[in-house]
Amino acid sequence: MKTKRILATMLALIFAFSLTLTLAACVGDVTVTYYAVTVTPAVTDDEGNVTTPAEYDSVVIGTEVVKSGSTPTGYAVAEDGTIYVASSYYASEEVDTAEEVDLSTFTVKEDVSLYADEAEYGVSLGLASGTGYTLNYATTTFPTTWNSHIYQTDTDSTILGYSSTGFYEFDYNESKDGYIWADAIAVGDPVDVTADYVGEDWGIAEGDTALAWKVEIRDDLCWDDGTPIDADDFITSTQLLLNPYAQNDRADDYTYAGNFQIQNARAFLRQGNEFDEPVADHFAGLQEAIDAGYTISITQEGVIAAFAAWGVNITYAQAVNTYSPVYFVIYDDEGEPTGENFFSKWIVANADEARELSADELAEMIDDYQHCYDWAPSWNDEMAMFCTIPYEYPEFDWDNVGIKKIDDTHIVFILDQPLEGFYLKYGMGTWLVKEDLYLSCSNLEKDDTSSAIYVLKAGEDVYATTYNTTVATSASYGPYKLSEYQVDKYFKLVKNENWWGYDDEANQGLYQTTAINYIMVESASTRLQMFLAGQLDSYGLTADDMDEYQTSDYTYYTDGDSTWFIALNPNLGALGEKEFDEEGNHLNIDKEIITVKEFRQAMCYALDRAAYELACDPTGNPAKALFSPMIICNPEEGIAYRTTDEAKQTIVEFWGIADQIGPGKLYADIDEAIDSITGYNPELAKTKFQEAYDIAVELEYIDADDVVTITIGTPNLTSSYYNRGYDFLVNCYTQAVVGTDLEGRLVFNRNGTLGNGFADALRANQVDMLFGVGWTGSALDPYGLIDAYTLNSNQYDPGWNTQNEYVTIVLPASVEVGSDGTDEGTYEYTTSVYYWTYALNGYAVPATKTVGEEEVSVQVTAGTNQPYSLRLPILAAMEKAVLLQYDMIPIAYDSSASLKSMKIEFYTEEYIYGVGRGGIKYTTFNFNDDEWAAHVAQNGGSLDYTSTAD
Amino acid sequence: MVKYILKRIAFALLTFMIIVSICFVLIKLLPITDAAQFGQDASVIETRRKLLGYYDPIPKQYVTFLTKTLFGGDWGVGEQIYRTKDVWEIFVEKLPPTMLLNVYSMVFAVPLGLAFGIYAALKKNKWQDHFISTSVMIIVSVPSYVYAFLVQYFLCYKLGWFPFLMKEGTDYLSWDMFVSVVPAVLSLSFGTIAGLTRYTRAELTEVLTSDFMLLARTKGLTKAQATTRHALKNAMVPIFPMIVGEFIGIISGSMIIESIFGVPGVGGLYIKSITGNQGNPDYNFFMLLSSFYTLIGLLSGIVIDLSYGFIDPRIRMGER
Repeated sequence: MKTKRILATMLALIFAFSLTLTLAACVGDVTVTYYAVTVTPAVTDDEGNVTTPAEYDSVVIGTEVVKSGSTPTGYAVAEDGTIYVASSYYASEEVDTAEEVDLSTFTVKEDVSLYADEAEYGVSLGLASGTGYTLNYATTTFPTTWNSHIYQTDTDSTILGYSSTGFYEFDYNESKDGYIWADAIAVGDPVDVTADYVGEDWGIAEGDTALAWKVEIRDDLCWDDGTPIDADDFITSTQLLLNPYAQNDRADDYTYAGNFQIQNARAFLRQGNEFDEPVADHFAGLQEAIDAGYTISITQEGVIAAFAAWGVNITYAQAVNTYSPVYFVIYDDEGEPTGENFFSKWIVANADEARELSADELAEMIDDYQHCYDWAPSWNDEMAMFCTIPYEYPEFDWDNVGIKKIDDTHIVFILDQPLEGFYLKYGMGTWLVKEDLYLSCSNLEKDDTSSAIYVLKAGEDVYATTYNTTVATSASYGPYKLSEYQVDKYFKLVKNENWWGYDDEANQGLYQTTAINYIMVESASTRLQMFLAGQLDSYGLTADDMDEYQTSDYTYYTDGDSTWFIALNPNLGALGEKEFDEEGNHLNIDKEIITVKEFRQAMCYALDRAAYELACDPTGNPAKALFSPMIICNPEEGIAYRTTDEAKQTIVEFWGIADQIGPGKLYADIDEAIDSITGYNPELAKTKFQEAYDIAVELEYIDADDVVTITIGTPNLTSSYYNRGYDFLVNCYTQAVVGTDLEGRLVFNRNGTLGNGFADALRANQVDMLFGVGWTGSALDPYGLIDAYTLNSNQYDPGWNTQNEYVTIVLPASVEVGSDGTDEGTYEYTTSVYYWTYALNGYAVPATKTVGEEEVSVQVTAGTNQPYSLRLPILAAMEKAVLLQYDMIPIAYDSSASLKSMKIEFYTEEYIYGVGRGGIKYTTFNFNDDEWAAHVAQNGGSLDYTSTAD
Repeated sequence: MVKYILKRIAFALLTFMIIVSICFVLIKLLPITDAAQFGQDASVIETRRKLLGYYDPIPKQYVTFLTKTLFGGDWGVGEQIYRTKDVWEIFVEKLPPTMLLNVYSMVFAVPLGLAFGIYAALKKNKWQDHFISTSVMIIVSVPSYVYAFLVQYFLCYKLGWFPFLMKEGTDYLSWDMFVSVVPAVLSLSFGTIAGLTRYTRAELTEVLTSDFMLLARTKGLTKAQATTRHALKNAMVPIFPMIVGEFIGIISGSMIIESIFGVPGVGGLYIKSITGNQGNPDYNFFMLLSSFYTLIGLLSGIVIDLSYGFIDPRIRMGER
């Protein structure tokens, strides 16, 4: 019996579920149309006769499709808060009065038109649902915190982009083909007030400029709740940003890590916290630190930093292999080697580990150091450079931090380094937070109102905050504000009616978008279907979509600022070690051939970049050089680096066609020559592979029975880009060596388990080659970005010692430190790639100046205060030096393609750096939300985006 | 019985502590990625990590975990994922959509699975049985995300019957919400229906060929009477705990189905807590999820074991 009941219950459940499904699919839709009505009253004569009948003018203010039996959401709201909707339906030419109804009981059973008569009822018509202009975007990752002090990802910053405004912002120039820096929060350009701060307090000397800047801010700034914003808010926000208890992730970003370095911001942030720092940063010598009672430690990192400070830019492995056997052998008192080495005895093998030294160990270590080479006299200074102490930063007075309120609308920034023009405005980020909300969301409080430091509340041990993580904890001072948010699902922004910009005449007619929806849609196929169904307004094309939409009128291509490379790290010692097993037996493989430049050059020429892109990333463009076409070398005027003569010359010289340009030669001009470059030359590649092989044999890198084995590292084994790329490269290079002595002797294997640390794996020579790697995010500062390729700390190929690579550049004499401008000549200046890099960063570096037959030692510098015409030749020379190393072989310039909805229009067809195609400010709509819904419905619920102009 | 249950609970708690401790140590043994980033002051991140206790000795961290978290109930905030948000609140916020999806799926799948299984067993070796068994083999062999894409393409895109994604908001019991999860429910259910059908058919077929069924028929019972009164009852002994187990699985989400249909549930949360941000796991999320699912798994084991006794009175736990 029980079993029967169970069966009956099951059948009932199945039936109920099926019924539910059927109902869900079949339930009817009805359309509600909303009209605003203006009534012109009838005119009557003295006797009451109607001479002119009343006129009714009705305008559709929106439509809404609702389920039969449900309540419409569109309505009119009177000033007293009464909600009005019409109670029945009428023909469109008829007009009826609105009446007050209870929305919860008002249900729609058939198509209905609802009228509201503003004239008669004093009704202020609210915008009916569906009449706005909503942008719908999909996101694959979700923002979790948009607190400007701690946000981390680009996704997090999405909301910030709408809810905040900078001091200055990118806008179109007059001809709409470039950008300008337009005032936003700031009024007018910053004013140089350095002269007002001359003196010891700020370390500013008479005659210095560009170190203190006064900025005027608007007097009508306010938060989305109407609370005014003035200069005090900027000061308070800075104090909260630099709060030593918080250690906010973005504290350094805004205030001292970039070009815009506020004086003493770092010291204020660090106070009360302990950092492992070189003894030399705080004491004259090691003995002084010991006397002060500090615990001394030694790390690999400290040793490398010390080498760098001594002007030797090397990896720890290089230090061990090259310097340690010569300079760090420990001798006894008779001068005989003890068999011990300072490195192996005192420095721990684990790079992340610090060795804390006891008093006895420390004494022994000092003694050992004094018995190395001839270091005895200078041990105190030198050991202070690589030994570290746990240094606790002392309390720091806020008055010494370089941000000052002058009055409610004026702030002064006092900087560590001179900065002006574009980079000054660009560096001035906004880290504004709403203090009362910020504090209510965190475990901070001010124990002393005069203090600039917010301390942790009693019982709290670690700072925590929920500011800007939900609608309730969010504050906006930008054009839009967050109105809805559900974690990992969606968020919605609507207009911030208290934003100053809407009253600004310059913005009239702009910002048509009334709401912005972001929906989490992880699957690309779902995004495409939703886009075609009119539910999304943009769709990022994938490689699989390109066949269908590559030439669509709605497809927009956008170049990125990154270049993707094949990266190699030719470290002879490390590569050689990998040719042996643990017992020291040779594995009959060769990797050392990678250190032969001709081999890497052959790899560069053997790569058919166009075919690679087609196979792996159809939206990308084949790369010919280090920097992409989106890199700007003169941000003041928006000049793209690749359009300059220097950059063009670098390309043709790198590809070896510089001498084929000119009248009567292969190419009429340099542009034609560059256009002809594909980077693919299989014949030259074969020649270079053979040359490389011969050199490797001569250097005894490779034997007759050795097989060249290259391990390619990828972050994972699942990414289609890396899978396709690996297959392509293996096939490409296997074919490229056919006909050479390497035929059948060049093999590849793959390590696809490296995760996010795959770059480190190459640096440590765990793998021999990476592909699809590069740097991003410095489009406006290639002079800083060059560090990534030339300085040991960032290089993919630290095996390349840039201190030994000398480059000669013809420059004006103004590059010299102390130049008074009287010498207008140009000279050849020679120094290492390493020093040129530092020169671009504003440091004075040693160089050799050639004057006729004579060589003179000088100091040169080429920081941000130098004109770009002086910096550009150095940058181009650096690019060429990096390229000619063939460690970073350019494959592709980053580019993406996306479909644009028919609903919207971009302001410019061309993508302009900084402003894109107009962004939210300039986007216009061809349909409002209702019209769009109707348009999609008319097209059967699926729109065709494959049409082309042809 | 009570003594047995208490004993099982005590052992479960002991097992829980051992598993959680192992999880804690293992996750803490994973290396922390270098804080150094191009153009940034790594010391800010390092200091923050230090303040959070990342570099404390593991035993010290473990004591803090026991006192503050496990027994103190403070699971902390997200440090690598869902940064600054209370991990417990996030978990609780994300659990209902997952549970909703799974409950609907079970309500749909269990009756159908049983019905098909029973029907196939009764029609053993006839065309109906072959049809069901073949269908089951096909369905079991195809991954659920394939159904998901097919369901979404045909029902949501081509026919437009359902929305592409689960509805926004937290009105989980509303009509609109129900309609929006139908595609996900269907995608999730196919596998369960097929599995249950196959299992029920196998169990019931075996019981139907038992000697006691022959005895029942010789006593004069009809085939239907013998099947419902004896065969089904016996076949249910292994099937019912399986169903109970499926219901317990309600709190664990399907990462792929949830991502395809935009369900903001807990599917994938565990993996996300391990992969974390730039290779650094989120310890707080990982320990909360490890602890929660370990506890639920252990308790469900007890419930399943006890359920045998309720279904078949001959089975008595802990009695000699």
